[in-house]
Amino acid sequence: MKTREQIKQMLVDTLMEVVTTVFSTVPTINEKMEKGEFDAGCIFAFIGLVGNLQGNIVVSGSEKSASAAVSKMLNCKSDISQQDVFDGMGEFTNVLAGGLKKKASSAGYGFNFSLPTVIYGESGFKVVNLGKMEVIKLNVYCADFELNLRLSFFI
Amino acid sequence: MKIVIADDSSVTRKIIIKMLRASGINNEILKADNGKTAMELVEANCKDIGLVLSDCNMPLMSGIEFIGAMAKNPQTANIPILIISSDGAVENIKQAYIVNSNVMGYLIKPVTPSQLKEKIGALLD
Repeated sequence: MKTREQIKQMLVDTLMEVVTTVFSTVPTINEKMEKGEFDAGCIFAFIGLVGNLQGNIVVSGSEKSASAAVSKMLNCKSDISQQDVFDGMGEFTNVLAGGLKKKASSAGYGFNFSLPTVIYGESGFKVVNLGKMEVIKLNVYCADFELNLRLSFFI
Repeated sequence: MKIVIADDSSVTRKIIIKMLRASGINNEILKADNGKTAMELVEANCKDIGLVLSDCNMPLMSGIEFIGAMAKNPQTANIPILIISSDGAVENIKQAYIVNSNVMGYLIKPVTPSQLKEKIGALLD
């Protein structure tokens, strides 16, 4: 049986592994394990998790950063449509959830996840979880983008 | 032979198409953003479809329901299928192979070009 800290570390490692594969590069990832709120950027992708591990994954970033990140996913240097930026952010969140599900299931914390939702706003958002969830927060930096990843969960 | 790509993410469809083209696979691609549309495409083109690439989590009709429907239709039952999904849980993978015996592989996103090339190259040979 894994300890709570071992499970958290497994989740962090999985998120990092997925990020590295999706962007075909090793981004700078700053790990911050903290509780509380944060200000999201203009584009905010969300996916709900339910099961032995429950909570949510949020990926956020400015529209410029999100566009650069999705361009990197598409390996495309030209401008991409806003719809593709929304879609790509949702899909990135979906892939993170899938990666976590595989690892968490093997450790006895299986869960299902929703279809992703993407919220777009000009002036950002404040995310507030109801209840005292554990929060894993990662900041992902590449040459031309920065995204915030936030996994909030109960186990 | 045509290839069907069923995935609700337009970005994923574009990524897969880029990977196929980069691997020298220039077959005509038919695209669907849910299982229901994919089933309609497969039924309408059943004699020309050489391969179906399908996601699992899609709106309207999931990938598992879609490939299950393919298995029940004698005209589409023998088309090879490759699942490309973010859902890598063992029970989901098992279910895919159970509902359609023509599932030839299950790739877990994120998929690398070499993984896709290796799987599809073997299926199209």
